[in-house]
Amino acid sequence: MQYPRHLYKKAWEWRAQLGTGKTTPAKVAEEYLARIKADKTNSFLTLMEAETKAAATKVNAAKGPLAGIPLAIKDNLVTLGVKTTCASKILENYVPPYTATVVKKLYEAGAVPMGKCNLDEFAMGSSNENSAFGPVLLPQDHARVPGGSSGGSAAAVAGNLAVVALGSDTGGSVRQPASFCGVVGLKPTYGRVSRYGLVAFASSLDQVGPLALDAQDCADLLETISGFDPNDSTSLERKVPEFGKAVEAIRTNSGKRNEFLKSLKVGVPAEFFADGLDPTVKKAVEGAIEALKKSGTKVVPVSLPHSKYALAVYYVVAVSEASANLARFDGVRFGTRVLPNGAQTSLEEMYEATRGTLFGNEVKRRILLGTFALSSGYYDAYYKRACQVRALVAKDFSQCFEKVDVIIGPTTPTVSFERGSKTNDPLAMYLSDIYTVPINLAGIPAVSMPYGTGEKGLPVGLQLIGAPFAEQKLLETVAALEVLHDEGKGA
Amino acid sequence: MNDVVNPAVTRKIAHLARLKLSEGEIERYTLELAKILDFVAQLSEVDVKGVEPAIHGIPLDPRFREDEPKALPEEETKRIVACSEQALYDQYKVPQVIGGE
Repeated sequence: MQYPRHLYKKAWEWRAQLGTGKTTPAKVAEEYLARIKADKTNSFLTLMEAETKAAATKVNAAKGPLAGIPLAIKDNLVTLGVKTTCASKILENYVPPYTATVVKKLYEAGAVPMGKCNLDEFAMGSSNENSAFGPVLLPQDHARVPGGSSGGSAAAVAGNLAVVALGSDTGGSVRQPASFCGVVGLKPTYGRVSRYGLVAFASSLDQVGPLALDAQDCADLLETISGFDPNDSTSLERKVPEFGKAVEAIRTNSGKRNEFLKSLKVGVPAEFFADGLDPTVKKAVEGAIEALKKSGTKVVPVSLPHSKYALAVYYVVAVSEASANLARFDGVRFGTRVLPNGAQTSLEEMYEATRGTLFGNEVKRRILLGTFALSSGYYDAYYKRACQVRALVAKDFSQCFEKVDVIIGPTTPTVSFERGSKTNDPLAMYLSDIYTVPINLAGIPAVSMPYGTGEKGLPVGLQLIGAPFAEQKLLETVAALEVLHDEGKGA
Repeated sequence: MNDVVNPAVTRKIAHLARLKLSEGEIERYTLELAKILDFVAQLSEVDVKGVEPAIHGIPLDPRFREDEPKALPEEETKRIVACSEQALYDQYKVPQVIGGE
């Protein structure tokens, strides 16, 4: 199987060429821009040609791992002077007055911004079919979905339209599209990466995450965007490890790799292999487990008994937070206004018409559900109970991490599905995130990497879950598994 | 089927959320919300006695600062106010709030 990492040049490969002067950032940017312009997947909503050119011209290619590297940005991260729509009609013409911390850090690292990527409206969805500006198509098969909500970001990397991309992950929105598109996508520990300038969906779950072709690029991107930010009150003061160096050692030094694999303890949760898991996906994941075992990794069964409730918890907690966060979109301070009776429209009529007309279906459904869960008389039965079960979901994980370093399982129950196949059944769509939402509830890090193939030869995503702040261990495991996969061990 | 949600409840929630919905939407959302709440009802089988509700997955460092107003440079104020479709004298213009007569 050929994944995008086998087909396209990774940042660390471009770096070698840029470092020797074989090519220039401007030439690289031009190449990617030409492909974006010819693209048919609808991955980008706004091109940043002026910013692309300025960054590519002035960047010092020797600056660091991402200097001169084409970057795609999910369109729910604000960018000064560049439209940020959240794929919603309500923000169709919104030009933010500031830049998100993660984007700023990447600008400073010399990354070359190509444009803003399509997503499910306000990051609510699992197929990218909820965008007000049309769906994103899976690069490998245009009849299928790239996953969501960071569908544009994942498709941009998988389609060679950018080398690296930023997404956001509230319930799987980086990992699930990474899985469908055959790329690497990581959700960091809650608080590891600043949320300043990420348009909030569910504040206790949202994290910005990197999407890349392989472990190395993912590590370099994560290292660049991590770190404390005084502008985000939930940002944590933790030292940022040298993720890039750690992965490079595993990738290039077989001695270190073998040593790492022998010292690694991996847990397999039975709950992630139960009914509803496609047999071809199951087989691919078991292939990875087999490869680890053959390399001397200790593999033990673990149990996550409350994870089966995670989706129900999520659809109370996430929508409750969303209903509060999205209250700010009322047509007053930003976004489009709807005045149904012209100058005679009252303030309340303006609020209701603006929100009722310009929010899409899924967004309205979630606002209604969240408003209900928080409303007088229902709060204890829904929101409070969900938060109690959330504590139990998180406790399951912390108990597992007393015994193992990494938990392994599928990212999604199936490979990419056909467009339109789940749009009329919200619950069926939500089930696509059944293995990813528990991680957000627990605030822990997890990564999806391609391993094996399922139905129609489409990529399967392998999910690796770690203890709080164990991103390095996850990325090292991805790097080791990339080698094992390509050597044909257990695939 | 969930008996908590009916069109009257959906209408009330829609008003609380300041969402203008058509009658067709009220009908559809009522059915969909009932289905989702049926799914969520499985949470009632979990024993949560004595469990402290978790607002976050992992403990955070509580961080507070004095709530002091900070003057912004004029150009920044202008940039922020310019995001509104209707601004006047660095203020947001909204429809009349109090009745006119």
